[in-house]
Order: sequence, then C-alpha cells, then structure tokens
Amino acid sequence: MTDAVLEVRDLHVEFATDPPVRAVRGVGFTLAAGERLGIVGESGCGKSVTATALLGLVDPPGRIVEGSIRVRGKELLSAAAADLRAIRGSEIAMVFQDPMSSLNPVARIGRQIEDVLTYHGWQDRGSRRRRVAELLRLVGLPDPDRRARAYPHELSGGMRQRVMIAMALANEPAVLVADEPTTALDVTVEAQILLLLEDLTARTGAAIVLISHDLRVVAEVCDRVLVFYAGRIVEEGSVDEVFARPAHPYTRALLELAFGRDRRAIPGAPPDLSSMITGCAYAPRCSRRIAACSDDPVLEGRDSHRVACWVGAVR
Amino acid sequence: MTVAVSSRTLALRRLRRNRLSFLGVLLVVGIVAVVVVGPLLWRVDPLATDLVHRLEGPTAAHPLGTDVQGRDLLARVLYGGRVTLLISVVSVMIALTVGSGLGLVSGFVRGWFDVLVMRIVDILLAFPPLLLALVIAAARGPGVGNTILAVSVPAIPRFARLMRSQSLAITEREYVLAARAIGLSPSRVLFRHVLPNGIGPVTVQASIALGIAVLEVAGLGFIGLGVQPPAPEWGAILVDSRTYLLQNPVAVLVPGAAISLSILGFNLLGDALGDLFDVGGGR
Repeated sequence: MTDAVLEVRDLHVEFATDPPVRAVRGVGFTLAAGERLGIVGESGCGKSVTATALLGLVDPPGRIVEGSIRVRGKELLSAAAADLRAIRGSEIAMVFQDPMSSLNPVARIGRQIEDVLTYHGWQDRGSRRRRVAELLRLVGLPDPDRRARAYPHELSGGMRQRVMIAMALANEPAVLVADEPTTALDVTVEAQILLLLEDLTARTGAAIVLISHDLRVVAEVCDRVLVFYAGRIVEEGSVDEVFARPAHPYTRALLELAFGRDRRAIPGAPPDLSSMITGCAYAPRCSRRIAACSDDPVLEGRDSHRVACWVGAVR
Repeated sequence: MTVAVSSRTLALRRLRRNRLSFLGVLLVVGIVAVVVVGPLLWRVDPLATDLVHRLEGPTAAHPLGTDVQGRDLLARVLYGGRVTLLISVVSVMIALTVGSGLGLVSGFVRGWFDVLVMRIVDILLAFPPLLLALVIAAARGPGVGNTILAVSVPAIPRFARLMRSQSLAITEREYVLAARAIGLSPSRVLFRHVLPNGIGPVTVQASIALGIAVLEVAGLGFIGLGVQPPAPEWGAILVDSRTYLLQNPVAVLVPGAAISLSILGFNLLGDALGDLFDVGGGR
C-alpha cells in the first residue's frame, strides 16, 4: 500500500515491572489514508498501550522493546524528541477516554485549543483565534466565542469530548487515535460523538484508529477491525467479513457476547503476560482446542480477512 | 435525628472556622495597611533622637512614648513593621521560588536529580528552622541581606517537599498526557499544566511560612543577629524597650503585640486558604 499513513511493524511493548510484563507482543498493521480501523479486545489485551505507543507516549516503566511505527513514512521510534513533538498534534493526534480528566482544569478551553496551534507553527494570534472559533463551531459547540472563554468544569462531558476532538483535529492530522472515546459518556451522547468523529474525519480526510471494547461501536464506525488478544492480533479484516464470518473462536465469543442471545461469559481469564506464552494464548479458554494449539499460530488468509488460529480458517 | 444534630454541629464549626478565617484576613490586611499607610500619616523621623524627652510615657506628641534615646516609638513601630514584614515577605518569596522550583522539577523529571534534591532537603529538614536560621545568621553576621538568607533557607525544604508531591501527582493526570499528545515540550507541560494546577497548597504554605518568618526576623533582631540599630525593627524595638518595662510598658506591649498578631494573622490566613483550596480534605 503506497498511500499508507500509518505503518506499524512487529511492535513489542514491555513494562519493566517485577516480573516484567510484555503487554504488546508483535503487533503489525497498516492504515490507509482516510481508513477507519477499529481495535477490539478485552481489558488488558494491549489496546490502550498500542494506542499510546502510536504517539510514542509509552512512559517508564513501559518501553517499546522493538518494532517500527511510521507516520506518513516518518519513523517515530528513532525520532529525536523535538521531531516527535512536531509529529504529535499535527500528523497524529489522540482523543482520550475520559474527557472529564483530559482537559487542564485551570485553563480556558479556547486557550487549550490555541496551544495546539501555537506549538505547531501558527504564529499569528488573530488567525489562531479565528481557527479556534471555527473548530468549536465544527465540533458543534454553539456560541464559540463564549465557549472559548469557559473553563472545563463549566462544560458537560459530551461538550468536553467535543473540545478534545477539536484539539485533536486542529492541525488536520493524518491519523486520529481515539482510545475509548465514548466509554465515559452517556449512550445518547455516545451516538452524537461517534457521528461527529465520522463526519469530521471524512471532511478532513483523517484516518481513525478507534479503540473500543464495544463491538457495536466498531461495527458502526469502522471499515476494518483488529481483534486483540493477549497483546497480539488474533484476527483482522474488513468489518463486514469479520463480523459476518468470524474465524477465531475468541472473535466468535466476543460477537456472541455483543450481539447474540446466548450471553455466556468466556470461561477463564486472559493469560498472565508476565510469563512466557507458547502456542496460542487463547487455547486454555478455547472450547475447540486441538493438539496443534501448543504451536504459535500465524495470521493467515487474504487481504480482507486474516486469522491466527489452527482451528478456524478464513472462509 | 442524629444526622440533623451532627449537620448543625458541622455548620457551627464551619461558621467558627469562617470567623477565624475572617479574623485572619482582617489581621493581615489591617497590619499591612497600618505599616504601609501609617508612616505616610505619622510623619515623624523614627531615627531622630531627643535626649530631653527620653523614656517618656504616652503623650500627645509621642502617642506610644519615647525610647531610651528619645526616639518616637510610634514612628519606630510603624517603620519597624515595614522592615520586619518586608524582610519576611522577601524571604518567603525567595524560599517559595527556590523551593517550589526545585520541587516542581524534581517531581517531574524524577531520577537522579530528584534523589539529589530530596536528600539535600532532608538534610535541611533535619534542623529545626529557627536553629538553622540562628546558625546562618551567626555564621554570616548581622544585616538585612543575611537576615533574609537566614530566614529563607530554612523555609526552602517545606516548599520543595510540597511542590514535589504536587508535581508527582499532577504529572500522572490524564491532561498532562493529553498535553504531551498534542506535542507540548516538557518545559511547557511543566509551566502550563503542572505548575498552575499545583500552586494552591503552596500559597497555604507561603502564608504559614510568613508567620514563621516574622517570628524569625523579630527573633534575630531581638538577639542582635538581625537588622542592626538604629534601624527600627519589631524585634529590635522590643529588646531596646525591655529594659525599661516599668517606665514605659506600652513600648514593650505594642511591638510585642504587633509581632504576635502578625503571626496569628498569617496562620489564620493560611488556614483560610487551606479551606479555600480544600487542602487536607474539606473540613
């Protein structure tokens, strides 16, 4: 793919705790311009760590052990700190889970949005102000001049998430990483925010990486989906194919939980990532386990659908 | 029933606290106003001696009487307040800037810098502040500059500790991560996000430190290690007048009361600010 805006290759992230935990174990994917990619999986499967890694924001004790992340061809992992800062907020931006805590409580929101512009080369104050007003209008906040003077506590959760989206899109990034952007919001607000994300990224041409534990959200918004389990991709493909014909037993279980009538929990718990995992990480919980599962499965299939499973092949 | 009673007790307690807070604000504003405006209205030279009228009790010409060299005590107390309070404020400002600056950076960068700064802070904290002030004043000699040094250095550790804990906590907040995600440099994150969100408790500490500083400035003046005569300073006035307690008790009572009320005022103000910023859980 020549028009890839984001290329992740063999990403490994480890937390130097005692014992060390390998949260991401060899994740790789590419994101085409304007594409909407969903990442799903249960808590602790490495979704959020992958998200922060995409902006080079993994903090100690976490460390990106190996791999490559390229944003529009620029390698992040070997970039100098200043180059990395220039990429963040302009080429790739992020919307966080909890809008109540991701805005600085003591700064006016107009100022916070303006900061994103200031640090990415908007010299002229007047044009920054105009851009802030334009962005606030764009994310659907009425009366932008008044809103710009508000402090975060004066806004509702949905409005704050709109502000976060305005900040993230201020410099029209090529990639927008949204880590559970609606989890902390009301269901009614959730739909509005998702629509807004879809609409704005379509307008600016930004690709989205949408991280969610909610498969319905992914089904609604995304073109393509990655299913994470224990720090790896176990299944990937177009939303249509994966949701219609899930190949991996884990994906099937997740879909059953999200959409099915038979809502039985998946037995067992995700594996302990501090120990060496050999073979398929899902095998201990899998009802269709066979002898081959003690070997590492590889992602196989076609471009539109791949699975890492010895049992469930792509049809 | 018990709920009603306890909530009333709580309200009463809050009312009392508010009164104390109000008293603190009143004392600080009042004392500052008096020493700032007073010398403008009472235009008597605090250094002019008049040996004919020495050790007089309160008269119309000298409302607080005169000291052993016939200097007007009202003028001396008013000017002395300026000296004592100004030295205290400057010392606390220095301690606040140095201490919070070190703490802010320590909590943010962590690592060896943090360890180094905090061990130095621990060493300074091992001495009682007044003793440390005495040692510095004794080693450096008297004078305004050395008094400032002697009062500010012992106050640094508390500011450093406090700001470091704030810095450590705030650095973990999601809005700091969000700020980094939009490409802010560490120094901008520090001054734009960590400092403004962490400064609240520091103002409380500053107010309490001001009370301690007044005590130390006056204390050093009292034992002759602070501001030197003939310059007026509350502690120095107190020690001058002490000998003549029986001739003119007002000369002892007024500077003594000024020192005490200032300390009380700054402490109550500190409590009031603490309530305002909800430091130590909403009481």
